[in-house]
Amino acid sequence: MLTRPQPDVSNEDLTDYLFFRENADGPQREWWNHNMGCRKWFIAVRNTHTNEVIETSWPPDIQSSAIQSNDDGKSDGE
Amino acid sequence: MGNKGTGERLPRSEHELIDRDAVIDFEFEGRRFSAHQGDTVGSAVTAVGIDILSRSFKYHRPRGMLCAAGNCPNCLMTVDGIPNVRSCTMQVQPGMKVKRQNAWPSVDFDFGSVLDRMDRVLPVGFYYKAFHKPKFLWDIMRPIVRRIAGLGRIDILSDGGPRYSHRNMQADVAVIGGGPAGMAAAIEAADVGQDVVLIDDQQVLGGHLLSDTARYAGIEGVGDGTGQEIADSLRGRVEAQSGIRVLSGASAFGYYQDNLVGVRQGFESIQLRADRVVMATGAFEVPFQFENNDRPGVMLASGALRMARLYGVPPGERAVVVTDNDAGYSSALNLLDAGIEVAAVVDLRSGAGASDVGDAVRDAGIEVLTGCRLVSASGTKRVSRLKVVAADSSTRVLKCDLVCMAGVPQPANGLLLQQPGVVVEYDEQLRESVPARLPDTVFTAGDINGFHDLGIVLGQGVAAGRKAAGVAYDGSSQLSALESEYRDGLRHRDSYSSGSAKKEFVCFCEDVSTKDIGVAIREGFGDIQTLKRYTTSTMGPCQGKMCHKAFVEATAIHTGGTIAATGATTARPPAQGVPLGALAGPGHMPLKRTPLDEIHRAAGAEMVELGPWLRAHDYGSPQDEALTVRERVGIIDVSTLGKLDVRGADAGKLLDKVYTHRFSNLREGRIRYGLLCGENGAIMDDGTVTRLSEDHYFVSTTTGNVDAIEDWFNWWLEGTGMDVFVTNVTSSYGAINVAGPRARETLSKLTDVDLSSDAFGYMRSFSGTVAGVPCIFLRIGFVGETGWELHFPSEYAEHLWKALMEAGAEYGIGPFGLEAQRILRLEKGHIIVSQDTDAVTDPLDAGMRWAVRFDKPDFIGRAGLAANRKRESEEKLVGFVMRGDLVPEDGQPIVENGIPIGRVTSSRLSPTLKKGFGLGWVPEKLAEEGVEILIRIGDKDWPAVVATEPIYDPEGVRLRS
Repeated sequence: MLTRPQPDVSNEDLTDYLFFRENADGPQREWWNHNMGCRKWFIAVRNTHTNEVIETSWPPDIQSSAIQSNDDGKSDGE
Repeated sequence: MGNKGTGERLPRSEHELIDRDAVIDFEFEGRRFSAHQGDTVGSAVTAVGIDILSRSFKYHRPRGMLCAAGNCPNCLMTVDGIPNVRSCTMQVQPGMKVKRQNAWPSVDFDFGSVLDRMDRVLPVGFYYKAFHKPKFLWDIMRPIVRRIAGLGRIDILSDGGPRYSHRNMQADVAVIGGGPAGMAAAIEAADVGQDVVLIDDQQVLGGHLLSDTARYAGIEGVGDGTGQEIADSLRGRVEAQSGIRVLSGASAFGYYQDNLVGVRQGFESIQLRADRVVMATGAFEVPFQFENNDRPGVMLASGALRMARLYGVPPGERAVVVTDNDAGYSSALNLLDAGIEVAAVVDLRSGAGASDVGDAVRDAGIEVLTGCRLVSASGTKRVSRLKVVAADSSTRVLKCDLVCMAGVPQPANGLLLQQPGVVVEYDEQLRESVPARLPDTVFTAGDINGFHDLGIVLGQGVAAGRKAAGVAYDGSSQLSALESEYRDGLRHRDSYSSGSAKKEFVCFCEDVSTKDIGVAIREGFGDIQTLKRYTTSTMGPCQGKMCHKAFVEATAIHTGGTIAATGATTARPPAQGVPLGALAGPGHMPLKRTPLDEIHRAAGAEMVELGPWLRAHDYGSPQDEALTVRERVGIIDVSTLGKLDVRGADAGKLLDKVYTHRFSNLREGRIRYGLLCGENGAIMDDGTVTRLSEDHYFVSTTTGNVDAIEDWFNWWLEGTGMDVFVTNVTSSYGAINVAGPRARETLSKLTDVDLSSDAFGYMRSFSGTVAGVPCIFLRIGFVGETGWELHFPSEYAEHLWKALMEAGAEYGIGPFGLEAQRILRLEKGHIIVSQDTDAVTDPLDAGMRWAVRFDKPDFIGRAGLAANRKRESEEKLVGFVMRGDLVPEDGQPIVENGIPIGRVTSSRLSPTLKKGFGLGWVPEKLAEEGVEILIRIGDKDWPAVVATEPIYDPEGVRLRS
């Protein structure tokens, strides 16, 4: 889960956003879609090492409280 | 050789699997052979004296029955055109056609056997070293080596046999292995209410007990009796127990994450998902190391006993049993009881040679030699002698035609090890690799755990069944006591063979000898992972079942390490060979047909698959169909277009966010072209957006992409709180495009809507009826003529089509298909996403800067496009027209000085220009009207001229009239 770049973003930051990922070893928050069923989007926290799904939830409100990004813990509103 | 009937069999026994009163005929290498019902191909041919079942991979050495259980490569034959079938487990069917493999002119007399004498020039890894200097030598040898390699041959003219059907199954508990442990576990779990599936690869449940005539007494939970009787009793209880589905003759080849098991049963491929799995796959004997240990007649003791006990086939006449554990003595008695003469038991352990069972063997008149070392087997087509060195260092040559190798069984953990989280470790006391850590939902029971005692096996089965069912098991302490007692009673060999004989085989599948292992280690491949790949040991059909133990031992000895430190090779699916046909998807894929499908077929259309849809490609002549549209009027079925209904107060806001263009300011009744980009600015999809009312839009996408676009829209909506609903109406609406100079006249006959160009201009939309059918009219022009795209409830499609055809008859109307549409749109320079664009094409390069509104606050892809705008475009998408008569194919390269500098994306013959033309990517410097470029067709370069304007009606006059 990442935050979208602002229009004046630098090339480095844009490249990071488009192509580089943290590749975390451990719990990671991810977007999932129930493709073969109801087609709704939801959030899952999955441990990338053991593939265990720790928690699932509906997507958060972007307007309301902060969204944590998994790597640096910074909160971002929009 | 005339038909020998079913051969000389041993006396009838109650527990054999064959029906002596039923005889089946089959064909073996062109000759008529007979078998009993229940025989396998292997047992049937062995019964009539066929000793050599195949020739080995590299040296073409004769190979005979070894394991008789599907765990080795020796018996692979071609059955009914299918190569590499394990004849020892393949049941004979009437009329089956069988032949042996890997030999010429015949397996009995194979010219390839000369390779056996050429081992000096064919050492391990020879294809890396030999025949490479001078270099041209390898170009000659490579095809020869390739030709000789391999076992069976595929008949490419055959139809490949029946299709596999596919099935999904679910269970609470899956038990893999139908021997005593598996049966006990299944019974236990089902008894406490679990839904159990029991998978076994043999014809009949029972595992190794099926050929076990030893007497057992005092085992908790079963009555006294022979192994065979105990198997009968357990089988009866499985059948009587409700809640157990038994899959016999089913091979579990893959064990995937979250307890997904891949199973092949006959011609059915099964995916089984279980909450918990009990792995009770047992253990198997493996060959000993000595020279010529691969001779026909040298078998596993269990293999010899299976032949004798299950099929009544004498595995030989005079046997020597070689063993390094007490069970070998029981096997010797079993063989004797079956009617085979046992000359001697050769015990590789020093000392007195077993206690009670040892005495029984001696009492039966069988000589027992202890403290022996195996030297060699001799005999040309079959073993005739076994040479051993006894404890007193004297050499004994034992006359025999059957050597039964009764080594300590090795756990069959190849399937278990595929599951993530399983850890298997070498147990020094047991001298076997056994499970050390298992995931919560995986349990093991029986010989796989390294305890080869029926009492322990059954106890573990019960324990595993209860634990898998989630209920308490209170026999743990008794079981542990039995296991400790077992460990204390073990007596192993002092040392392993430090073989270096060149025909002492470790890997039977790949003809790798202990000498080869030594050589490879000296060459530097001291790690078991690289050693395996270099020598190819464990990489053959048996996947290490027969050779992994010897491989690890040889490696440990030659590197001076311990077995535990040497490690093990990695187990990967499939554990057992599985045909690609079983893995290929279901034979039928759902195809979507448009509501006009039957009309197209009736009109003689050539149908073609476009993604999941079946569409009309043409009705006989795409060129004529295109001209019909240009000169008169044509209709095309475009029902497959993706259609999304987007409505809500914020609908415009959503569209502004995901498209590059602005749509919130689109007036009611207007249409605008829409381009969707990814965050990197690359084009994802295109289509049209029509504003039907204040908060209601009708969006079209390319055929086949609508599901992805729907997900894309919904994803960007998440968390925004926007008032928008996106509904996929692709199947609800049929769509027909009516286009051509006479389109207005045709359509006017069927509708009250004013179609004049003043009232209904280009890129406008109205609602009305056509032939009584409610339609949304979109005046757009993909093909470049006056035309309307009609969207209507799909049930009315046929009625509408017929009405149009009738109305347009006087103007010369005709249907046009996908191909004609492609030609027409190409003449107008209209792109098709993913045909003319690729994964990185952005609107700027594709000449669609006009579709991008940088003055919007934000939209998906804005940052990427803004960055792209700053840099120079390297390539541009332009049109071209050929100078000559040739028409390039899509994808042909555009060249300069023989080097590709661009490519043609779409190319056709223009019915209006009568020349080849199309679209392609060229370097920026060449992207100007009139510039000459060269296109490679075949092996020559052909000239063309760049055209930056569409070749047909560039001003769009016809479109707007």
